[in-house]
Amino acid sequence: MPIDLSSVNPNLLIILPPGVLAVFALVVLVLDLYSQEKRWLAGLSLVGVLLSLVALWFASRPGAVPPGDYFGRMVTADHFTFYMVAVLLVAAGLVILFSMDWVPRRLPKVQVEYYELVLFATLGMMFMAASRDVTLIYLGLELSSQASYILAGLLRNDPRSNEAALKYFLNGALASAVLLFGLSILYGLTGTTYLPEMLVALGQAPLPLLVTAMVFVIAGFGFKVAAAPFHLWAPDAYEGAPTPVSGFFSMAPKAAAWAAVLRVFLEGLSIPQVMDKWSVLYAVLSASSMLIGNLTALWQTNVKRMMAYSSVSHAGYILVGVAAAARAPEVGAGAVLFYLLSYILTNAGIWAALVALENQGEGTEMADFRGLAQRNPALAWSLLLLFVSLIGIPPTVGFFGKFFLFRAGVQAGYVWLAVLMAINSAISVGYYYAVVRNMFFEKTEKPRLELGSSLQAVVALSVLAVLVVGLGSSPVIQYAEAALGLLGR
Amino acid sequence: MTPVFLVAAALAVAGALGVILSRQPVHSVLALVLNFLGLAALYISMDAEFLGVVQLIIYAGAIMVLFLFVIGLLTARKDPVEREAGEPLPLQRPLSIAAAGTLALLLGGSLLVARFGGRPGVPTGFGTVKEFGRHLLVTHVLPFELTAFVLMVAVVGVIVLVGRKQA
Amino acid sequence: MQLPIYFPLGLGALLFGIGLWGALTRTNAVRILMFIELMLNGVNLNLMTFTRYYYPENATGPILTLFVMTVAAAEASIGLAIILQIVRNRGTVEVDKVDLLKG
Repeated sequence: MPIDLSSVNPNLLIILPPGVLAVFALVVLVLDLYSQEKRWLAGLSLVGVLLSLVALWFASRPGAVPPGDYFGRMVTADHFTFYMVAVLLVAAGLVILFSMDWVPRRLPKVQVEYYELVLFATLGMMFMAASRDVTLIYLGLELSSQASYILAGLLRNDPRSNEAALKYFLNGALASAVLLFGLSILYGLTGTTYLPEMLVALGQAPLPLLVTAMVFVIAGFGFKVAAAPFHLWAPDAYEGAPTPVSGFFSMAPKAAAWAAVLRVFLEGLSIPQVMDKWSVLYAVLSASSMLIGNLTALWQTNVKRMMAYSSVSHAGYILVGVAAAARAPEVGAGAVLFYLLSYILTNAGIWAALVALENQGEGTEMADFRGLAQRNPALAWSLLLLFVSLIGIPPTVGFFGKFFLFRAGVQAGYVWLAVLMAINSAISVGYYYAVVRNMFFEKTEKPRLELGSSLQAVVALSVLAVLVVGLGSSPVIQYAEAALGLLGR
Repeated sequence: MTPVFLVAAALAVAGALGVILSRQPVHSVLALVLNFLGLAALYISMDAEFLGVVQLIIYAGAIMVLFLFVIGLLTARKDPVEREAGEPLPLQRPLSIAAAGTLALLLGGSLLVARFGGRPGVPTGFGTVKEFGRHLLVTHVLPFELTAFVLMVAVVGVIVLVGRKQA
Repeated sequence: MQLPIYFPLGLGALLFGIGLWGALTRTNAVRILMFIELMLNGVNLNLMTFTRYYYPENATGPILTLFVMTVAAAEASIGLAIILQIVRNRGTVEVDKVDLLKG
């Protein structure tokens, strides 16, 4: 039987960005064997990420890759793919940049493996965001999750890091199994793993079973994005994992999981009978994540742990957009996409500050932030601005992110949820202020806090992005909403 | 088909219950092997010979041997791998109830799905190695390549976590 | 004689359910990993059953099953490596005794 290649539809340009990243990851892995000096390999990983961004720019030029599905309908060329892959690459680049001083100090023996795992995880996430086929979404999710479990446990002589890895692993593996069970029922109801076909076939599916499958899928993704009540692993994983790794967790894997949520629910499960149901379920998850995340964060004394609860509450804010997307797809999902970018840009600077503290041999407790305004005024003021953005005060990018989510919520008729989001933003002032108070109103004898050039670059980029993307948000949100032009029908 | 199914299903359920009920972890592993044997027989009775064989080689062969080695390694140390069943964890009771609830829901759901009566005949080549190979390297070539990276990450990870390098 | 589809589907659900029950109620990390394997086997049986009964011309289901097996193998090796690490440093495989990070 001859092989019919017409159904495959290969296109090299569309897989060039992940391809470049994969090649660099492998080259770095091999060069590790022959090189004594490891620092330039970190630089090479960063070059890989940047070249992958360049390749993405080539692929996303109008007309370079005609919109559609390639490689046996496994990868999709649309604005959504290009936008999310770009966001993920930016996140990976920032993480590599703020790890460069930390890794030689704390992981001297496995420096290259660290970057390696970050690159592999990013590769998996890129496919998660780029695919409309559940098979590839699942495999991308697994690649990124497994690399993440290992990253969490890299400080192998530190019991806290072991514990973080174990908890992350057990919860993540359980979540994958639950997600997969839901997906297997969806496959059984429709006979396909390709989301647009699934959408067509779902019309005839028996509703009770469909809803059961949907609940499993929501629970599985709920674990991955750490939405309450599926968030219990997150604080432990964030606190115990190596600090730059926790920063990575809060930025990239979550964004990829949100991309997969939008794909699966807007392209696969968007028949009217179930849309209302998942919309309400997500609204409930949103409310509980916001409340639990914010109220628990108020009691934390460790800033890494506080940021974990803060990320739970931010998952709640994003869920407002997801819930709204059922009724107003373009506005809701566009707001989610914009918020992901804003959250990543803001978080990068905050985690860079935490990494800087660890680089000087200090911890990440609230007390370690005492007198930071004396020790490094520029960093303290930058952090203040970044916290302002996380709270959502104008003119920062966080304000615009929250504003778009709020607007989406109101347009979709979730006024109560939008109001709850505003109230929660006010609550969140409490714990961010605790850090700010320590920085500005406490005295300390500690010496000046020095930032390496790469950390300075991350903080500067973060601050700049928070101001510029905030003020120039209208083109970005337009692009984000256009990204939904091919989605959500 | 029916007697084969009944025997295989009985094996699988007995294995699954064995995993949860036995006290020694080694017995749990052996019960899990029993479960996998039952499933392999089921796959073969469903005309998916290749998957049946893979189930035996990967699961019963590779994964379970790995489990046995690790348990052996752990019991060789002084630490007892299993302790006496003590106080239930705080969340244990509600969680068990939730699990039982989902189980009941699933069983009910699987009854609901039985909307067609019979099974259509299988096309020639169903479940053979040739058929798998064609799809793996044609339409599913990207996921196939990605599994290579998944395995690579596992190799790198295990070396980093338990290898000599960092010690 | 044809076997109705809800027998194999029920078996798949039963395996998944036993796995979920065990994973949520047991505290031994090695055990929890075994239960997760059991859940994945329930998923695989589901996929194969649906393919065999409704979509025999379809290759997606068996191939997804194959991928799940591959991933499960990788996952088990990573999980066991993490557990070995815990035992080296803490001397226990009980999840509830691993509690440096208060929850």
